[in-house]
Amino acid sequence: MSDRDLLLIERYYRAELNDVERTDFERRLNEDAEFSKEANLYLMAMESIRLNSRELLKKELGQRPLIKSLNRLRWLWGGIAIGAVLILAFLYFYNNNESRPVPAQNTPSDTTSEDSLRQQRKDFVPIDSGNFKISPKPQASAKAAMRIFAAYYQPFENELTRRASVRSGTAAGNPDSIFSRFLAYYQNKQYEEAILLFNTLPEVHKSDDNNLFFYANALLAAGKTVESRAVFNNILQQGISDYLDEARWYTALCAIKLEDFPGAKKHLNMLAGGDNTVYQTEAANLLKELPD
Amino acid sequence: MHKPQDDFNAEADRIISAIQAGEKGVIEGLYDLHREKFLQWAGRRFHALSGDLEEAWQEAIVIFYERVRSGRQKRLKCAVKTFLFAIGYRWLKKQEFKKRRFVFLDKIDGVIDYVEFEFFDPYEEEKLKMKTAMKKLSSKCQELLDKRHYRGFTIEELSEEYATSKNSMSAMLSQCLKKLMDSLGEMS
Repeated sequence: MSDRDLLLIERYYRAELNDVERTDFERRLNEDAEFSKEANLYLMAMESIRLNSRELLKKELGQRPLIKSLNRLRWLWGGIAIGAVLILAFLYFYNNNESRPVPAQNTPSDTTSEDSLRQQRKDFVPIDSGNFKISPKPQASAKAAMRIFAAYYQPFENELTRRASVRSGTAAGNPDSIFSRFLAYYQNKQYEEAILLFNTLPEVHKSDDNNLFFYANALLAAGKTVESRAVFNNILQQGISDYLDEARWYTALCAIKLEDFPGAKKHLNMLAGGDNTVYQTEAANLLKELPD
Repeated sequence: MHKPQDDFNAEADRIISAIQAGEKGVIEGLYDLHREKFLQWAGRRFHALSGDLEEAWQEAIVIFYERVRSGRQKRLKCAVKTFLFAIGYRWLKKQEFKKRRFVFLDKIDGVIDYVEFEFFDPYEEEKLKMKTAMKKLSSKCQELLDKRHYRGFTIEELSEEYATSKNSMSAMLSQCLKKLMDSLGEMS
């Protein structure tokens, strides 16, 4: 088959022929058995490609790591926190009971007389509770991380996101701007939608460090802390974003949430020691709260 | 008045146009975004192995992608997530149906055998031929045809990716396609 015929068949099935070409093509299909056979083979070839490619796509998708959402982790952490509180409460109660003064073994059984009562009081020996050490270190670390993160974290907002929010009701002002709509979703706290929309941006916008900063914030707000930290780190490494201090601040918060306190301190020290950074005071305060 | 439904439809429109335009990463993004929720949701409704649920989710994504690419799915009346869950649900239902309908107990020499029939696919043989023909091509040809005819790459994008001229890329593609057609012709 000639290249010209193959191109013609391809264009026909892609609906790219004009009316005259299409009529001519269909006439040829009816009259030329060889051409008709080639057209059928073309369709079979397309089906072969589809069957092969869908298997390939399924395989590729199947190899992607499962990204756990925050919801489940939140339940997990909630469960751990409740468990820890119950254990601590039990230990505290048990400890108190045990350390309450109890009569010594040689206490006389007759407790009716004043003397014997006085004697009993004298003989009270507190049970040594020194061996009963509670070591709630891991829970305490997680708890501290959660508490500090909750106290300091606020989704990033600036004029850009606020403007997007105001206009979100009318498709973010400029209906053609995907990024505006991304910001609108972000500002409306529809983080998952925002993330999805961001992935539909053309590559050149997706790799822009300023845009990535908002994307990383959306990830963090959606509970995808590990992914968010990776994007923030990348922004810091590139060092060209307009939001470098902000990225550093949120990287530190990501680290806190992931209980990586030394990692958080590294960034906070840089912010606290820097000049004229918005986060200077906040970073210094936060540093004081981090466990050693 | 602005309704949440409008947001869903606008979102679906955006995703559909992105897939139609061949934008990269959309399918993967969709797959990741709702995967965990689908597995939980479907896991509560079907007694299936986790591998089956995973496959159902992959099928849902692939079917949605193919429908959009072929132009059969131009709009959605619901959120993309709902639509995908519905496809996954139907796929699982179909699997369940196949198994239930074709499973029966048969007594052979006093031994009860549990016989499970595969669902009969009238096009199985044809499909096998098609797959075999595809496998006969070089891996580069397979890759090129996949990108051009399934993933929606343009000739320009392919020539850029493979650092070759547009004309050479066109020639390569038609050569691969012809080889495939010849192979299919020989088989039939």
